Amino acid sequence: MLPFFKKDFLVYWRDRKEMAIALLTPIVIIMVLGFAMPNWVENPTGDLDLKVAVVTEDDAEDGLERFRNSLDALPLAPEETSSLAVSAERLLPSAMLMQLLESEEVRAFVSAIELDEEAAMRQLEDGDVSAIVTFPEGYTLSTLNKWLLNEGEGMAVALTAEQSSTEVDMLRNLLEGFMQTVNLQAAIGFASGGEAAASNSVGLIGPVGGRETIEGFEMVTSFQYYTLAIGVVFSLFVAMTTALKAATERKERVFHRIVLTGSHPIRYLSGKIGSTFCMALLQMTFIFIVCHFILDLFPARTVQFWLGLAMVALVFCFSVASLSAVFTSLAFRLEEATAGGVMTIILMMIGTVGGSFVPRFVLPQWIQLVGEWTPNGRALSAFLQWVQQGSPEVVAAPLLQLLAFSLAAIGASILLFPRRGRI
Amino acid sequence: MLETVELRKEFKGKTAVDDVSLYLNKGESVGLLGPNGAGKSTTISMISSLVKPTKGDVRLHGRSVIKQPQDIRKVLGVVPQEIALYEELSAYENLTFFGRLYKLKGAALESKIQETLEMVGLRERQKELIKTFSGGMKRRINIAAALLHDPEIVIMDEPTVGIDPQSRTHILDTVRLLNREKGTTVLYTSHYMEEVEQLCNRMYIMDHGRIIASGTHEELQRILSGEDTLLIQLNAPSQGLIQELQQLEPVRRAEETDNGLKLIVTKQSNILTAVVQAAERQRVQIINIHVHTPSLEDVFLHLTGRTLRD
Repeated sequence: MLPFFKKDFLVYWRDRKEMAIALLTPIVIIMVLGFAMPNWVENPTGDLDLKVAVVTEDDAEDGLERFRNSLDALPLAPEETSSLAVSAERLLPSAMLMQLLESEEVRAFVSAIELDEEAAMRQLEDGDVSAIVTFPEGYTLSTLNKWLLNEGEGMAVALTAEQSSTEVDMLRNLLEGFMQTVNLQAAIGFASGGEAAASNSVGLIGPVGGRETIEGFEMVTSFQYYTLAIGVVFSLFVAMTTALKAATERKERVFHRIVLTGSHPIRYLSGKIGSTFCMALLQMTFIFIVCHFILDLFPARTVQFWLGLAMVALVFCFSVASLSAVFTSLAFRLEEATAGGVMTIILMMIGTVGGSFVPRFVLPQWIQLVGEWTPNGRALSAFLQWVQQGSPEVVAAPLLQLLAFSLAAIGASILLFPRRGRI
Repeated sequence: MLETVELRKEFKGKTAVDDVSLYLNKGESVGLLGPNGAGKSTTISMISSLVKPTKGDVRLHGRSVIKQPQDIRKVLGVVPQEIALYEELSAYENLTFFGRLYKLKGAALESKIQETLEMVGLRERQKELIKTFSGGMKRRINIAAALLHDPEIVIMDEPTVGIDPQSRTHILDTVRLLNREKGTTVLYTSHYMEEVEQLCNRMYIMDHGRIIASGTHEELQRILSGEDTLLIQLNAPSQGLIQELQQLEPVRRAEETDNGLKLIVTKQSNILTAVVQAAERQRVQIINIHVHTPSLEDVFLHLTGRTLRD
């Protein structure tokens, strides 16, 4: 293995132009992203500005009056009837939702204006507003019945939008979160036999956007995120570079000369794995160290933190090296241009779903789940968890999964490698 | 020492090599001649165990090596047509790498590297990167890399294509040294008839995947022993004259050359008068007529209907 490793490493090292590109490009991208979008990770709602029209088809006063009248028909004690009537007045659902929309936190990214239905639709079509929140007719009565008497199914506010967007998704999540919280509080109220607790609901809605600090967690900054994500994705490209160099060896018959020496293909593949591992590790170390010194990336961290970071990097670079073996086998099976295209598609796909190009939280849920199973997604998770928590227990699982991926990839590369006479 | 028995290779239904049987005795230098696409490289790939034949056998000392390729790989040095070297590495680093793959180490490796570099005349340039070498120098290192393990048999696939005269001379000297002084068995393929004439004891001529003739220089020339070659220099090209001469009975073949035409005619035929009369009829002037015994080029042309470099 040693001659192959030394040869491959020297071939990499002597290609100074490619080396410079491999080492400097990620640094430039990290700087550009970091300065262009400085708070994207810390405060993802900071740049959002959603204009929402609120249409009220419901007559809240009438709904409240009808709710009070309905209480008289129920077999309740006068004190209970009186208490529920007071609660209903305090818990007017449309008022509570408007209170939420006009709260300081939500106003930071949502501007709500009250319009009639026709005007709201016109503004939506003209693009003056991004969404319409509609309180449907009978909303107050239906919601109070559900909240305070646990009768009926309640009623949801309607959200109308011309097209899906991150802002609209956030608004939808906000409304759903509001409804779930209020329903939960009401259910707890009934279960405890006391007055519905929905009146506390507004205060229980979680913070929206902004920096959230949780005990025992370090907040990840944008620069840290970009450095880790870009470092990870550029390491993947080392696997592709290795395979393309192997394709050149095949084309120029150097591989045939190697075969004629009696060397087994596994020795050849092991050289690719070793050199890719070293190149990926060198590149990642260079990126982390340079970014740390330029951006003060991980200030006042312990030696233990750096050792943990190195451990994650080592395991990830091994998985990149094993991926290079798969790519090398592919390069020997396919035409050079086809192999290059297939590898690019694979890298772009796993790069995207693994959160290497954009933070995973902006991606749909199912893509986030798929991304967790990519080597770069797993590695990025491990890096982020280590930066946030610094706990070996937390990163053990992703590291073991990366090792399992590496072994599977090496096995696949051996199976994929063409047999004699087919190269 | 080495023989192929009815070797055949088919690629996607097309026959690239068709029942090729040849042999190399120990210490012999054998030429394999043929135009592009004749099947020489495929034959070499099968002999060197890189490609499995569709049919037939390759035998070393009488034992089949199809299923045990390692037997032949140990004794074989192959110089491919391509420059199979790492451009980013120096000549020394390339030879070190391939030497280690042949399990050479330490002083033995160093000594073999220096010996082969000396043989190809590039010892002084060993620390320079391959990408800085001329085409001829690259081809010389390409040969050196195949000689590190002292192979008993060396197969050279067109080792002098596209190189400067100095490197060509050096390569031919190296082949002579290997064969005549070290006793290495050589199978040499080339487009250049004169190289094969100079270097090889025997030769095989391939065309369309088959061996169409074989033997020593003299044996092959005897194929055309009943014929003469006429080189006729004209003041202007004339297709009419070629067509007219082709009708004459003693003319076996007539073809245009750079400054006239070439005729292969039956020996002792009184053709000269007929040629002069035909030239007068076609209104072209004969400047010179040269009659000579057919060369191997002429034999090749006669057998394949085309020249080696077609």
